[in-house]
Amino acid sequence: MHMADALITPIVGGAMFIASAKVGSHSINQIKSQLDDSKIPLMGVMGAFVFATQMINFSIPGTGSSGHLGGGMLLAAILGSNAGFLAMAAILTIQALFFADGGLLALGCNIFNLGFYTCFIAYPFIYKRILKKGYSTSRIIGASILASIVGLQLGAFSVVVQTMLSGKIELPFTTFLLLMQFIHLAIGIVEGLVTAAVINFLWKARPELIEGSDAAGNTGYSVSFKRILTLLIIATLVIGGIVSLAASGNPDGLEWALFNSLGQEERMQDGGLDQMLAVLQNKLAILPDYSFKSELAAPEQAGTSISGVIGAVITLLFVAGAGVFIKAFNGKAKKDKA
Amino acid sequence: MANITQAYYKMFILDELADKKTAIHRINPIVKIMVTVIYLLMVVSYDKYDIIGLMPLFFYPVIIMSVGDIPFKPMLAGLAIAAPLVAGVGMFNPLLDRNIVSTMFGIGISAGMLSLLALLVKCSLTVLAALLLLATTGMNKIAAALQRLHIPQIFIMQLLLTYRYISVLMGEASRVYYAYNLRAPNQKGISSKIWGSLIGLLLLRTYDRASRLYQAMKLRGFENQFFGGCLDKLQKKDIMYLLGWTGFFIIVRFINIPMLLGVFVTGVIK
Amino acid sequence: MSHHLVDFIDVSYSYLDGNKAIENLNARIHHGEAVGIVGANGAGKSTMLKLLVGILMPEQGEIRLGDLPVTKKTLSIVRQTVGFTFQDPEDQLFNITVYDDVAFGPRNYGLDEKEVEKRVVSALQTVGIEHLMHRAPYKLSGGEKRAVSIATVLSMEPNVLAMDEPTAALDPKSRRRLIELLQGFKHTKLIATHDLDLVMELCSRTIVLKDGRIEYDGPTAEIMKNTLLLEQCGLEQPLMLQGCPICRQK
Ligand SMILES: Nc1ncnc2c1ncn2[C@@H]1O[C@H](COP(=O)(O)OP(=O)(O)OP(=O)(O)O)[C@@H](O)[C@H]1O
Ligand SMILES: [Mg+2]
Repeated sequence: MHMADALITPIVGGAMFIASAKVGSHSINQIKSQLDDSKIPLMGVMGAFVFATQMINFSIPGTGSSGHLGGGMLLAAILGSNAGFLAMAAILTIQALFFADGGLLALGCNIFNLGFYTCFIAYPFIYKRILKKGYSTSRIIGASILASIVGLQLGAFSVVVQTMLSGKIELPFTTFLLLMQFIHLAIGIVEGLVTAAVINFLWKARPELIEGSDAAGNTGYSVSFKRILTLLIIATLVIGGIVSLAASGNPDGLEWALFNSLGQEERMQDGGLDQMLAVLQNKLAILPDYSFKSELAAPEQAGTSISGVIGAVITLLFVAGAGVFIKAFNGKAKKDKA
Repeated sequence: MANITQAYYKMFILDELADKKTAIHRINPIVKIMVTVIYLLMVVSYDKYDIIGLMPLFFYPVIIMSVGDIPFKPMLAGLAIAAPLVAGVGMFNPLLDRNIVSTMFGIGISAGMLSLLALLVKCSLTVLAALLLLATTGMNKIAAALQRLHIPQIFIMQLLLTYRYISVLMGEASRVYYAYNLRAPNQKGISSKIWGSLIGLLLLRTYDRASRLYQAMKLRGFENQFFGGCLDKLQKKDIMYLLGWTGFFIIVRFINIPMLLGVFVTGVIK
Repeated sequence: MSHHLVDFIDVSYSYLDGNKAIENLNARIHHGEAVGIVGANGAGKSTMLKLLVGILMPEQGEIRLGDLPVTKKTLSIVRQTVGFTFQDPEDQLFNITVYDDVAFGPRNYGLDEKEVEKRVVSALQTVGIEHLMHRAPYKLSGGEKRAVSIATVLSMEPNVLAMDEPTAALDPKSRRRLIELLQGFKHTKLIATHDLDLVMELCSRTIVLKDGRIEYDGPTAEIMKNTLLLEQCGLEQPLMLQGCPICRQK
């Protein structure tokens, strides 16, 4: 359920980026004092582990679709909220860099969707509550499954909202929502089972590794409800603020508002760029009969007019030409050297 | 399992490519990160139907790939991962947005088809840009740049350790897997009964090895601080690189060059 | 300086699970001395070296480098002074290129890149693996990895070398080169190994461990003749002292 760059607008990406950064810096401040030499490699290992599990796709019965584990719950259960969130952020960053999975602009979205809900909501309020009375196999299974489902449902919902706010796809909100929630229900169950299996094993083999289990001792901090609430409010304010800033003055729906705020039409109407173009046009005077404005401002026509297609083809030829030319030049330079 | 190990070897190819010494590789990593982000922002800010305007942006990956001497094949893996999601979600566009906006060679082109195509183009461009950043910069330099950009140490550490431990984990995983297979030759896959303990064991083994690795790092003076000190100072060429690309992006973003070209050519033909 | 002596003073250590790995260990190693540490599997050799570099902390007793005690606070100096190679070189290599791995230590001590390069090249030359400089460590053979792991330590220019099984997985030629290399070092050397021939050639002194205790500590020449004690400690005379099996048969 990684969000992709191509599906979001810069504003949504930016807002989520800020929100994730805020949560991240909160986490860093929380764990700074208690990073010891055994925890650091554990964070790295858990990160690597979840990274690997995210690369395994399994098919979801009855849907013809496939999914992969999120891993946020596992990270939280073993590392605690803050370290878990940071580990998740690192995993997603590496994926964005190495596989462009998710993407750099959508990184904030992904960190929030996969890390925040699991580490800061499902873990403290569901998982920990259930295990408050102590660890036992059945409690671990119950807590893992329930927390995984809730975490993923929230994450999936978040994906839908972000996609819709970006307005790049036509799928109606409710259809998309139902689809996503349903698929992630299935993934959530599998995720819960895997999480439970791993935690159960660790709890028996090396209880000291599990954050908050008796053997790990009291680590001196707990995630309080108030703190989570504050975080959520901050995140909401940041996102809301940025989104509404962009949306103001555009009556025709948030979707289009977001879009147009960076799109061309609005800028055209400002006059500034428009005038500049007009001046440019007059100066160049190559195409006196064609108005830039009408061509540029109506992408639907622009996209399909014959001249548009021809222009696109020519541009691509230029691109290919440049590539071939540089390659040839490089090859020659290498030969000359040898 | 074999797939994962392969994927992981492929993963390091990009980082190894970063060892080259071409003009692009020598550009300051901070500048490269900035150019990449600006490029990404430009790409996703295009109108959802505007395929033609996007075309000049292909210059960027093509030039980086040819000047940076980066082969195209490793990039495909990234595209293979990202494209299905985008295609899957965008698939509905042609079905739902059926406004015929034009006919070409007798086939009606709907707005939804256009927007799907635009999505796919944007997906390819963003994927290429991200992968090229890594392939021309490398993980260590990116980490060093992040440090300069005041990203907290703890996060950079976590990033680097996770990256390093991925290879440890994969190594352990393939050993566990082969050891299992050698003694259970007739089974298909790993029996679900021992999934939990197998994965758990894998985790423990990896953790133990990771701890030893971490100790080895500490033995050589590692103090939970990343010393990316090998970043060069900003030079004239870096600034020019930044300004050059930014200028190019802005020009093609606000002047629809292919459209101009097309109009010009068709005008001449007429 | 503080590196003239290495002192183990009544050191004991047990692992988390209660396994007593080292018991009341006393030893003083002088500057420039080469000491072989031998003993059966599980005798405590690796543990002893790990205690020296502070990977493990003794539960009782003290380890000193001259007048510098090995404690959490002194670790940074201790680790600059003592170069340690792991039993498994895999545990030591984690960078993308051999160069980066060898440069890792010097960089951490804040040397500038020119000095780092000088050290890396000279360390690689010493071990004879300059040609591997740009390779990826995880793609090397076992013996090549071993050589790199030694180079990673040499680049830090330590005064004391502590090596855990340095000749394991080396081919005869590389082993020979390593022995010559180590003979050339004026450092203090502690070498934990099962390769008794190596000990014969390299170390004037030998410490024999059995179940975490010192069973013998003295001149190498003497212990190698004492077949009875060697056998009690799960060891065997070095091949070079055993006579030729082929000649004996014929
Ligand atoms: N991580 C550990 N946890 C618990 N016990 C351990 C651990 N590592 C080693 N031991 C135990 O400590 C004892 C000494 O181990 P050590 O590794 O020092 O042996 P060694 O002499 O190096 O053996 P080898 O020749 O096989 O390398 C052994 O009994 C071993 O089982
Ligand atoms: Mg050992």
